Amino acid sequence: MIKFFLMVNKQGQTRLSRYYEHVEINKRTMLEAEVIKNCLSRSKDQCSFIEYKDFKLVYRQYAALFVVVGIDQTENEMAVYELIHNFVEVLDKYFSRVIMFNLDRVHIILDEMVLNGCIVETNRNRILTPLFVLDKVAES
Amino acid sequence: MPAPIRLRELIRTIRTARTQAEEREMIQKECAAIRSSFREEDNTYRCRNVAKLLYMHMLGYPAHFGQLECLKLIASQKFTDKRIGYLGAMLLLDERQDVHLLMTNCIKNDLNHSTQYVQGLALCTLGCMGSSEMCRDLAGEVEKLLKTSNSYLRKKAALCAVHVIRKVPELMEMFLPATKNLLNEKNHGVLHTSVVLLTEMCERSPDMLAHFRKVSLVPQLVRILKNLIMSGYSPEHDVSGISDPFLQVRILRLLRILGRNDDDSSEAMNDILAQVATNTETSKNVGNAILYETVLTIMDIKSESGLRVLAINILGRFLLNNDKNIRYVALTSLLKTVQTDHNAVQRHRSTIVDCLKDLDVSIKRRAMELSFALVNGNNVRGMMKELLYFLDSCEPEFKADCASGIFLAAEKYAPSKRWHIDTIMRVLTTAGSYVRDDAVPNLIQLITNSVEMHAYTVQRLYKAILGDYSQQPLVQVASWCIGEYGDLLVSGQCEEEEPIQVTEDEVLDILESVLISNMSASVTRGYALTAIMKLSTRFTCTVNRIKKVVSIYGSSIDVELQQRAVEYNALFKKYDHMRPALLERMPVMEKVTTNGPTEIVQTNGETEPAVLETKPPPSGLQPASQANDLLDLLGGSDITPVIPTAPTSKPASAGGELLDLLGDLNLTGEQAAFPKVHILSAGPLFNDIAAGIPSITAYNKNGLKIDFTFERSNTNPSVTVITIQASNSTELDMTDFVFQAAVPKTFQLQLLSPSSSVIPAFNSGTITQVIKVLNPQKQQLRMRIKLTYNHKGSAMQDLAEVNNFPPQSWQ
Repeated sequence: MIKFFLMVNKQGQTRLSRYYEHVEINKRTMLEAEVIKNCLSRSKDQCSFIEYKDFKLVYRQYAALFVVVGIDQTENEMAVYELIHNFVEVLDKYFSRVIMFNLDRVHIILDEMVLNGCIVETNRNRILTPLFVLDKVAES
Repeated sequence: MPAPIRLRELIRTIRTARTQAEEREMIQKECAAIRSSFREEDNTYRCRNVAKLLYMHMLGYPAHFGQLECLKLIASQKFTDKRIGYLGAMLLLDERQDVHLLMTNCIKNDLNHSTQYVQGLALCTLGCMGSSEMCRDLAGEVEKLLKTSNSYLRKKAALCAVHVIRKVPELMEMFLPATKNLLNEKNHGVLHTSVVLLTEMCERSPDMLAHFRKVSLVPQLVRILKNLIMSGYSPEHDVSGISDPFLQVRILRLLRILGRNDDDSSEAMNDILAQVATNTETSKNVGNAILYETVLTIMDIKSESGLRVLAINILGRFLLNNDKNIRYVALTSLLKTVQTDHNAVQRHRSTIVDCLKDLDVSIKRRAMELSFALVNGNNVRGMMKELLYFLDSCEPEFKADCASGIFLAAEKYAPSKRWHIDTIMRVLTTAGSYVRDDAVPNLIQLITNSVEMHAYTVQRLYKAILGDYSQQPLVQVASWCIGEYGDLLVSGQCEEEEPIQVTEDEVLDILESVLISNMSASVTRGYALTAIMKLSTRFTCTVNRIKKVVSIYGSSIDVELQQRAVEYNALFKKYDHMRPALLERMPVMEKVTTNGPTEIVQTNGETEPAVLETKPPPSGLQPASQANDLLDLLGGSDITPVIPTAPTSKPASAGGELLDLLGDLNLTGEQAAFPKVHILSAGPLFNDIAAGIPSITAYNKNGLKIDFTFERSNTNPSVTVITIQASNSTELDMTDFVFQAAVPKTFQLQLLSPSSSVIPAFNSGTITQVIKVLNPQKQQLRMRIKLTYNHKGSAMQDLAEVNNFPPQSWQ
């Protein structure tokens, strides 16, 4: 099960955070800071899986942004690694650049892909259909 | 009031803040604006405001005042409002807040809405944060949606059902009928989530698992998987050339659960697993992800051996891959399989050992754990070299674990005593401060057991602390050894190595510096003081110096040190006649666990296959408590009157002797040199005795009756403790009573010292003795006993067999 999904930049600022298991709000910032510290301290040729407390972190770096996913023992780490890439590709298709100004839309995309810690849909077109509908409704 | 700013402007503004304080200011200003807007019940901009609130919440600022607004948004008819409302509900609310119950009605209505996207929203929210009450109320709706033909809704309903089952397990039955058709779908999203649902049901309830095995779920899954692999390029689900890897991984996981411990299911999936394992492309991460899952499945189910070998070879290939992720994953899997397929994993040992030198911390840890699991009698020398090198260079967080691991492995597989001692020395000198505290007494016990290496050991230890006495465990072990074997050190008797010339003064110098040094812990100082004291009997010229040192510490601030010094002083003054006896060499200590070194087992010359063990009683001593033991003796206890008198009974040398069962067996009686083992009370020796086992009368002849009472330990079920009680119903005492016992080869026996050697007449008293029997193979207990005693002026002797042991004593 996916415990949380984070996008953090190199300075430690959270760009997106989604928790699938309840974490107190003050603990969240601490968690995010520690997670980014762990990820930053790794070099490029080290593996992308870190053991942190009682779960594993799978992270991927895209330019100045880190996408970090926390999983427990039941998930296949490499599949989650692929999922991160899939997510970034979807974002890429919807926004012309991966810009975080439409945070609510990003959340909607994430909801279409991951529900309650499990993967729902990985096909790009099917994920984005409701969003296009939403856009059309919002325009009118 | 001007229109509230849009979310994107807010984000832009906040990003321009250069300090935390600036950011906080901006946020507070915006929060105030949002709050007043909420108070005005402004419908048009509520959506925008809540979106901004969610952003601020993500940054870590409190946003609870927005919760009710989310509910209002959910109740609105506009899709955009609903969308933000539900998002807000998922992010801000959880079942701890009471407010969330208000959502139940809204969700119920939305689950039946005409627009599928609204229904989808409701399912999503319910699936993320529905509480048990909500789930109970709405489970019926979810189940209905699970059966619709709309694939968009079906997939969400499946995951929602997973959440419902997690919250309210009793409702699992309700979803069972709907699962029949789930796997017939073409839509991969639905397939994927259906597999997740089935997985959840199988994991939660063994009945469900049995049910699914019966309805031939496995062939269905196999068919789907086959289609995925064989179907060729499909643009919809393709990821780097592989068709829907996520679905493949999920199906493999479900197959694993279905095949575990079940032969039929495992058989049905053998082919497909072999196919996946051989056909999947390994050049990209995707392929490797699938292979990883396949390997885990193969190892978990009852697969045939050819398949298992294939799996381990795949892992071996992974290890050679350049990609770190794959190496990590391979090491983790090998660790899981090393218990069951030890030989296959051994083949990859050299690669694993190479991983010890990797830069990555996660990989190093895995490689270390795996290396320890692979050490065996054949490769111990080579592996130990690598592990010692690793210990030198690894990060501090690994050193404690690595040191403990090395000790354990060395103990189990040491090819020679000298090698063992060398290895221990190496660990102590390189990682001395990281060694765990419990390792010190174990090491000391090990050193006492290797009798012929004493001189070599003490010499090396002396040289080690000469340069540097800051590593506490090293100093503790060294002080103890110098105290015990200082005479060997000074007399330069070492055979293994070039003996060094050390004078008594030099030895005392080093011990005193340990005592004085600021780096020494209190425990270490205790060791050093006791060592100095022991040397008073072993050294000849420096006794006065020792006396002086001991008396100085009689006024030390450290209470423990002070107590020891005062007591040792007393030894010098009033009890000087007892000092040599008290400070004699320590006997060989028995290990508390029973996989002890084998050199203490003795065989006898009898034709009968019997093995008699006469290890000294488990003193389980920490040198730190030596002082107390010595003092107990001073108090003149009335225990076994056998402070070792016969010089041949020096237990340190008992190690090599052959014992004749029928010969002089005074040794069995005289090994209780220390009062820790108090046999007089026939009370239970273990705190955790099993239920009462009936006692038996083992021997009853000529007025001598011997009863056996039994105890079993819960901590070690192969050990039976027998307490014998010997009583005498004749009119004259029986004196010089000696009880001996022999057991078949598969057992091990240990006789502790008897309470006395005289059985008074007229049943007015008994002799009690404790026998410990180790019965690892749980065979029927049999015993042959021999009794010798003096009665009515003549020597009596009798042999008997005891066969009437109750089954509970050995089963």
